[in-house]
Amino acid sequence: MKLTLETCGKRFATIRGFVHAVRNISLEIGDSELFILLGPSGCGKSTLLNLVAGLEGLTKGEIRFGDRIVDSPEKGLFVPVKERNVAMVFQSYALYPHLNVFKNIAFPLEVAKKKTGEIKKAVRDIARMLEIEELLGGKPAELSGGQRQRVAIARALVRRPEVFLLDEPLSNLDVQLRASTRAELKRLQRELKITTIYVTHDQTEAMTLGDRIALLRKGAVVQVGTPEELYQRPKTPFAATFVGSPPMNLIPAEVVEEKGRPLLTVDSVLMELPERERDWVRRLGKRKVLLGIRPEHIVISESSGKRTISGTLETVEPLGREYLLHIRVPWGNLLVLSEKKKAERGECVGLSIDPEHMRLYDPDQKDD
Amino acid sequence: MSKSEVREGLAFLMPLILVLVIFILLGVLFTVMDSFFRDVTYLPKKFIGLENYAALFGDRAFRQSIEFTFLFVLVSVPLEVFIGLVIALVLNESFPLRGAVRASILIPWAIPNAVTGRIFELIYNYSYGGANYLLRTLHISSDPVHWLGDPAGAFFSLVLADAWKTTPFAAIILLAGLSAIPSDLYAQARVDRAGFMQRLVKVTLPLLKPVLVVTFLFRTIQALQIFDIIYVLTKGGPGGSTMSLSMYGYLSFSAGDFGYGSAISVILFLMAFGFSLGYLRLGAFGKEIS
Amino acid sequence: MTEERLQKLLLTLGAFFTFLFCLSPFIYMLFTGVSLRPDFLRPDIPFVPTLSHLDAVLTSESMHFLSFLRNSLIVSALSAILTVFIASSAAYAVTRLSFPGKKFLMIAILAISMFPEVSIVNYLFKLMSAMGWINTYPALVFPYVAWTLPLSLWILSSYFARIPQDLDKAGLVDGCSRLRVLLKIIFPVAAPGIFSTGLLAFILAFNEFLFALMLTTDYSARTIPVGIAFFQGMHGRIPWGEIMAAATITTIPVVILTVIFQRRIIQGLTRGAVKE
Repeated sequence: MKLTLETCGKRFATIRGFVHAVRNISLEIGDSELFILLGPSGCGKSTLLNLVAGLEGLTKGEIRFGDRIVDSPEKGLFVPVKERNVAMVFQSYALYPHLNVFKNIAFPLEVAKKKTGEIKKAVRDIARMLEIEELLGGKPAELSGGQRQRVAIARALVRRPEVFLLDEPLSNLDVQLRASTRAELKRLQRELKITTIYVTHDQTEAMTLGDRIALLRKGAVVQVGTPEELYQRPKTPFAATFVGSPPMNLIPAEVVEEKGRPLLTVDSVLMELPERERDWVRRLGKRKVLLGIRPEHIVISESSGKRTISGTLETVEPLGREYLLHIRVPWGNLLVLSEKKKAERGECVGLSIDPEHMRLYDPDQKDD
Repeated sequence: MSKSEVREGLAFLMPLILVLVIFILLGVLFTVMDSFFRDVTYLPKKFIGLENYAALFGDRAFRQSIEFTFLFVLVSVPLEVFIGLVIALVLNESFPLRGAVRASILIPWAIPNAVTGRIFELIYNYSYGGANYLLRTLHISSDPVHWLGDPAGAFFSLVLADAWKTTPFAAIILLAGLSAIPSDLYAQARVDRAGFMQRLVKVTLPLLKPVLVVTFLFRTIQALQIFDIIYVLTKGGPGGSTMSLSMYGYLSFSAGDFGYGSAISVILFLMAFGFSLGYLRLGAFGKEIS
Repeated sequence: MTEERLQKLLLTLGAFFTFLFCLSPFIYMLFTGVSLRPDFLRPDIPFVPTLSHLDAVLTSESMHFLSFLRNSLIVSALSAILTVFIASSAAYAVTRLSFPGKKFLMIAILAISMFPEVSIVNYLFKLMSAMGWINTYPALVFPYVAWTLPLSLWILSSYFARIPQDLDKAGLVDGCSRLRVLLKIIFPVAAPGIFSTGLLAFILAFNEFLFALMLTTDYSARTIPVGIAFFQGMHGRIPWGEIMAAATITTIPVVILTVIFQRRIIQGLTRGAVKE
């Protein structure tokens, strides 16, 4: 089931005037895709999910499931929730506390008036798939967080919906449980081939789970792409620092001209520009830019060469496999990932940056 | 879509709105209207403007009932809230058999007013009632008292009976307010070497203020309307000295003068309204609006 | 005496007096109901227990006591059930749905709850007469429902507000209509609160006096409070024994209910009055 969102907007009327939770978002989600809506709190991702579900209605724009219009204020069309054949898993799981697990899962089928035999079979099948068969007699209050989540997923999938929506389903789980549940969710989604929209604020989740990610901020889409695209080619400083942990360093730099070529200076240190950015820099016409470089792409050299920045090592965070070094530099801090410790606290180090991995940004750029 | 949600909301609300409008709102409007009419059984109904109210002005019995009602409210409400506060303070502490004491304060509230009235009628009985029995056995006085025999006695008797019935209500609400005060504050006060009275005045009372206002408000509205106990105990006597406004209005109605009674009801309603506004202005009023 | 001990003493005294204060009239009633003579407190009169008053109350036709009891129970039960349903429906709208004028509505309902009974009773009398309902159950049930609705709405709203809206959303996504969500999800989950509200409404209706006085005329629909108020007996002597026996039968059930469910009742009352 392909999902199309066209110039969707949603505004709420509050005492202080209108709040635009969703501004002009257009997205195309492919059949059987695991699509992530990623962004900080308040960016509109949950509202967008509610709009797709039909729990809220658009103020403008259009939403289509395949060829079928489910919401279009301009055309006066709105398909209510129960006719959209979507399923949803909530952050709080929202299990019905007064029903046992079996009845919880069976609930949507009973509402749809399916026959008892059918219901029994469907519930058992999905329970088996999610490995919760022994829990069927218990009540939600007796289950652990991870178990409740499985029940919530089972309830959602039992009627084979066309669209599967998840709103931060892993946020309430222990950290260890999250990783294994993540993998399971991915496997499940692949197996069932259901078009899935997954909302999260955790970029690690987004990167590991998603086929494609839409990064949202303040109700608008900042960038859409595969995890690799978002990681390696973030389009704005916000995208650059939001995706990837530890975040990308943003260094204030200036463009100078030397022998007809544009170069960058950082703290009076000259360095090369990547070729792909040369035209962009020329067109930008500004002197000040932001130089983005990921912590793993900064190299610490013992020697201070012509093209190395000087800094003082402030803190070393051992991460197990590598070290995260906090280097104090004249304009702030730099984060560097390094396999070896390379220096002691308080020592001066030299940092060099490979132009290949540089990303340049306009410091005045807005994210819309 | 918000349009259908509005329709849904109205559908869910309709039964409540219908019932309240038909049985209460219209009632008040009708009564207000009726107060401008001469509405007496067997006489043709006719519009007389403010004549009923003018008549009330000159009516000595009416003035008496206003005095009584006011006095009653002024005496009983603070008394009940005060005793209720003491009871609430007691119940706020934990002690053995607390549950039993808490259950006991609900009993006066659970008994119908009319029954309470009769019980106290017996208690105040001159020859063999419990009140005079207590006076005798506690050696407070050797002569029995005519509790309901004179205006002052009747007034006091009513206040006592009403207090017995309604103090629990005040206590319950105040208790809830008390338990909402975080115990850390008391611990802090103790650390600051504050004594019991100081803790009461500096921590408890200020934080209890909104609840106190609510309690006062509810009790005042209820006290203004007092009817049941008076009907059973004194019927407004002796000599009309314990005639509450509700009682007087009822008497007008049962005598067939609906217009006059309506005017009395309107005055009572305005008094209640006035008190409410006064209280609302005074304190923070808790509202549960989602 | 140290402050601690003084406090403990005051506390104990306070608890003791409260207990005594609240219970003594009630106990007095109980004793009088089973005492041969109502004046047993006089020094020269002995206390002789008897069940004759209870018997008289329950069997005497002219007292109509059982009719009163039946009427009270039916009217109160009907009122409570109706109130709970109507108030639940409205509470659902108030806590879950957005519509214009919600604040105004809540204030209006609050204002309505403050109208004195006597200002409406005239209208109700005329209305019920016109409908031919005087001295029938509807004459009391409808006013009682209207009377207890505001409080019930406050209390139920407070309970409903605590139920996370995610549950509603889950229900909607699973295919329920709003009504179904209310009946199949909210009702079961809020059952304790609904029960408390119903109990309160029952007690309030059971104890009501003025409406019952004016809207009923004889024992076919009259309720207990009115019946007991009018119990005068003959020959100028008030039959205290019978009155108190009747009072006992009347109040014992309510008292038992109250004691058993005291937690719930207190919770309900305070939710209606105190901001959480």
